[in-house]
Formats: sequence, C-alpha cells, structure tokens
Amino acid sequence: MNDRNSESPIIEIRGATRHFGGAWPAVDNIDLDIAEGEFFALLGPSGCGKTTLLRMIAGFENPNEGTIRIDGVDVAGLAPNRRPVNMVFQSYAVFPFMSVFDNIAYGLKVSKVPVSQRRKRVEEALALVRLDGLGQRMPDQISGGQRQRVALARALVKRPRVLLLDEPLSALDAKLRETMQMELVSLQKKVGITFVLVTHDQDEALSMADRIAIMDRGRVRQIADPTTIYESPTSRFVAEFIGKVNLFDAVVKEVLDAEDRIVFEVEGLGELRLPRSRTAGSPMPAASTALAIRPEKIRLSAERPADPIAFEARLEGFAYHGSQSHLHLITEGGGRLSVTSVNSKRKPCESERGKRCFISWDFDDTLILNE
Amino acid sequence: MHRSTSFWTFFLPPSLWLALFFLAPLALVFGFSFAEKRGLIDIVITGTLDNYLRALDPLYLRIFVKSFWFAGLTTLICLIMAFPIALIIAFSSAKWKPILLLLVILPFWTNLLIRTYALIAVLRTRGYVNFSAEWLWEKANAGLNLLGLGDYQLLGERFVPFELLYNNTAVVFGLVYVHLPFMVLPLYAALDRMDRSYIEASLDLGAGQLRTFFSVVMPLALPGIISGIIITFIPALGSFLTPDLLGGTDSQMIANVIERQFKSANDWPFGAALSFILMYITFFALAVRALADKGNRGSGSTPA
Repeated sequence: MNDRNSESPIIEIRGATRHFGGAWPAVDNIDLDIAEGEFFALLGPSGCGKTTLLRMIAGFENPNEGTIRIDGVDVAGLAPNRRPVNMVFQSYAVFPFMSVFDNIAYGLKVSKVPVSQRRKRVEEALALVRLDGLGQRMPDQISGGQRQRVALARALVKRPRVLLLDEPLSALDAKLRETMQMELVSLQKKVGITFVLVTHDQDEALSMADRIAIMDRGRVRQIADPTTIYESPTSRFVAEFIGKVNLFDAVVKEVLDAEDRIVFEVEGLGELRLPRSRTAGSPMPAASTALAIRPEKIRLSAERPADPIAFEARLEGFAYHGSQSHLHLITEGGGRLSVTSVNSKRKPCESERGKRCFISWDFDDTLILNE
Repeated sequence: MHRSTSFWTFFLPPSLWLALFFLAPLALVFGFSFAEKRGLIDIVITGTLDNYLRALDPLYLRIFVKSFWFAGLTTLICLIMAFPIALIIAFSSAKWKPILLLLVILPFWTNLLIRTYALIAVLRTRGYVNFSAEWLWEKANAGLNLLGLGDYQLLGERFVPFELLYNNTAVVFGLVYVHLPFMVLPLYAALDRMDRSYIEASLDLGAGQLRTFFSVVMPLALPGIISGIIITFIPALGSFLTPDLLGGTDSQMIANVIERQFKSANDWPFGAALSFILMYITFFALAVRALADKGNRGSGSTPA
C-alpha cells in the first residue's frame, strides 16, 4: 500500500488475450498492474474471465496474445513450477493421502530444502495459520476451515512473491467465511506478500481488497479502491454489479454555462439539475446517459424538503429485513425506486401502502454513468 | 405381506439359478476333490486328502509357480502399458474420450478363440511379423548389394524367421493382449474422476511432471491400480486358452493341467483338488487385499 508509485509493479499484464472458442474471448486484451504488497481482487460474474486471468498468472493457461511479467520477468512459456507465485485452489486440493505436515512440506521437499530447515518452516507456517499441533492429522480428520488453512500454509511456506487465491472462501459456511475474511486480511498484512484474490462475492472484494478490478466478458470495466468502486462507478455494469442501485435513463436537456448547471430529463423522475462538476467531460445537449442513486442515499420525509433534488412519491411495497427495511416507491412520473432505511429505532418506519411521501438526496450522491 | 411377496418374486429366480448352476456343481467338484477313483467312471467320495497331497508334488508345484510367474508378469506389463493409455484417455477432450474408450473395449466384441487364432496368424513362422521382417531383410540386403557389400553375407545367408510361437514369450504376449483392457478401464475410471486441481497444486508447489506423477497421481489412482491388478491377475492365473494355443510343451499353466485331468487323464478327483487349490489361492489374495484396505483406512500418518 505505502508509496506504491515509487516501485515497479510486481505483476504487469499487457494486452493479455485468451480465446477458448466462445462468443467472446475469455480474457480480452487486459492491461493490469498489481503493486507489491497489495491485496488485489478480481471481481466479476461467473464466466467473466477472472479465473482464466488468475490461471494465466499461475501458468496453467497461456495467453494467445500479450505479455505477463512477474517481478519484472516475462513469464511466457514458464511452467507453473518455475514461477514465483503460489496458488490456493477453490477446492483446496489438499492431498488426501498425506498428513497436514507432509502437505505443507511437499513444496519444500520438491525444491530440496534441507530436512532440518523444512521442519522449522512447516512449524512456522502451521503457527501462522493457527494449526499448531495438528500436523500429524490426515486431511479427512480436520474441518473444511482447517483444510483451507492447510492450503494457505502450503502455499505461503514457499514464500512466494505473489499468492493467488481462487475463490478460497466459497466452500465455507457464511459465519466461517466472515471470520476467514478478516483473518486473510490480517495475515496478508503480517506476511506482506501480494495477494491476488478471485471472487464473485462483492462483499468479499469490498471488505478485503485494497484495490478491485471489476471484470465482465473478458474485459476489465473498472479498477479502483473499494470506496471508489462503490461510490463512483463509471459504468452501468459496475453500478449494478456492486450493491443495489436505482437506475434511470436520462438525456442531457440543456447545458447552462452561466449557472454552471446541467439539466437532465430523467425518465420516470422529470427534470433534474446537477452541478457541472458532477459530470466528467463536457456533455453535449441531447446526449443520452444514465443516472443512478443508491437506495441508502435516499431520504424520506412527510413534508416537501428544502433539498434541490426532491420528488413526491407513493409507497408501493415494503419489506422488513431486521436491521433495515426496503421500501418500494413510485414517483409521480412513474419511476420506480427502492429505498433502504436503517431501522435504528425499534419501531420500524411507517409502512402503509399508498401513502404519499417525499424523497430527496444530495447532488454528490447522484451517479452519472456514461457507459 | 405384500412387500415380502414382491421380494421373493425378484429374489427367487436368480437365487435358484445360482443354486442350481453354480453352487451345486461347485459343491459336486468340492466333493470330488475328497474322492477316490475306482475303475473307469466310478468315483467314491471317501474323504481322502490324497488328491491334495498329490498336488504338492514338485511337478505340480512347478506349474503353480509358473502360472503365478506368467500371471504376475502379465499383470506388471499390463500395468506399465495401461497407465499411459489410461492417462491419455482421461486427459483427452470430451470428443475423443468415447472413441478411445471404444478402441479399448473393441476386442471384447470378438470371441477370445478367434482373437487368439488371429494372434497365431500374426506370430507364426509364416506370419505377418515374419513377413514384415523378411521384407525388411530383403530390402536391407538389396541396399548392401548396392553398396557392393553383397558378397560378405552380413545379414546371414538366408532370412531366418523368428520363433515367436509355442514358447513362454508367446503365452505372456497373448495374456497381455487379452488382459490389457481389464487394466486400462479401472485405471481410466480412477484417473478420470480425479480432481485435476491436485495435479495443478503439485505443479504449482514446484514439482515437475514426473515428480507429480509419482507423488500425486499414482497415490490418488491407487484404488484403481489395485482393482486393475486384481481383475487382471485372477483371470490371467486361471488362463486356459492362451497357453493351450500359443504355448509350447514347456509353457503349460495350471488350468491346462486341470483340463487334462478331467479329460485325457480321466482323473476327476485330482482335477477337482487342483481347481480348489486355485480357488483357495484366489480367495487368499482377495482377503489379503481386504485386510490391507482396512489397515489403510485407519490413521496412516507418518512424520516427514
């Protein structure tokens, strides 16, 4: 994380493309830099190419075009066993016929680390993933969470430059997953090794990664830190993939240079004036675009509020979720919105269907999506 | 009540079949093995152990040992040959897999006798192997003549055909040919359902292809290897047709001896005893395997 710019990236991907003969390339001309010591997440729906990209870094797939450099070295044609990276597999792939100790020692044994040193390093790795004393167990005598730690220890004991994690938590139950998320993050800070995580779980990526690359159909749609990804998505795809969002088609109606405002005609809402600074570039009148607003950024009130963005709406439906409630509203223009309200008081907010109310939000929370 | 009726409806016919055509003859042969021959066709079950004692004669023991040696060698050669075949099939694309599997199973569609006669046609003195060798010999000789070395008879005066039939090598060759699919199929099944990420994990941890094969693929395929060994070794041990047709006087296996007792020697009690000794050995091998299996399933952890 610290002074990332001063060093050259540990992983440098340029124009990487991989065809499998589908409708579009599994990985399509991707440029990506991953910095030393970073916790990087590749996030996307299934089939977006994230796993293929990870397997290309590991050496299990070769790009049809483009180059991959690891630590400054072009790894084209370099077999997986010659790359300074190690992988934690989705199925963990802990060898069932070897004890936990032998599993972790395997990588050291094949690279001919002397026995005395091997023992010490395995013990250290066991302690690192808090499996002390379980070395003599067989994989079928430990829990799924513990097997996952064995897979981690087995990869980390090799002291790789980069640790690749392919959906490492998807096989764990929800509670354990949350614990392991926090453990993985603190482990990464402790060992200081670059982690590249592949996941389809947005929560996982947002809560764990320093930076996220959102992928779709073999392409990278946006690379940014979690806050930027959530609060300032640059495309419809990213906005809809991460979290919930209310999306509206819009057309630029007028650019008011004097007031430094842009007037949008928003489908279902009506006219909306936004400060020019909210939009990137210089929108032309009649340009079509999309506006988005996150459900939790919308305020509800009984009286018309003084905010510049406010609409009257009717409550259509209501779903109680314990810590929060989801409200479905219809504006006078026919636009449908969902609003999340946090149930900070014991009594949930009014839920009478057909009730009229006002919704409002801030300029800053309005997302303008050009793609 | 109703359930038990339908149970008997399904259970009875196959049980009767088994009892009538398998257990009864087996019991008869078992009885004969404790019998004495009186006259040409009279056999009296007297409870004697003479037949079993006679089987311990060095003459027959040698044939037992020879049968074990043939079957063991066949199993080993099959294992070494079948592993690459099974690997290739397991790792080929979904399009090729059924075709390759079909090629492995295809010989089963032809009668064993016909396949063995076909082998004779390949291996005999005027067979395809020797034809090919002779053709090569003539071409090589013509080449030597062209070089002006024709007068030295470097390749011998005449082509001498290889003696490929009616010896021990022919028997093992035939046994390997017949039993290879029995080894390929269980190995393929074990390799095909193996999680590929084990192999990738091994490569990822720095092991080469060969190391990965011996340290990861072989142990994971062990159940398939053991099944393959058993279903190759047991029928190979009791082979009759292959040594009978391809073997010489010196390459008789135990099944040939048994056949002779029942037919030309007309000594059913002794043939029965030999049969049962073969069965006991087979059962013993299976029992050892089951015990080893039980031992493996317990904790088998060893420190590095």
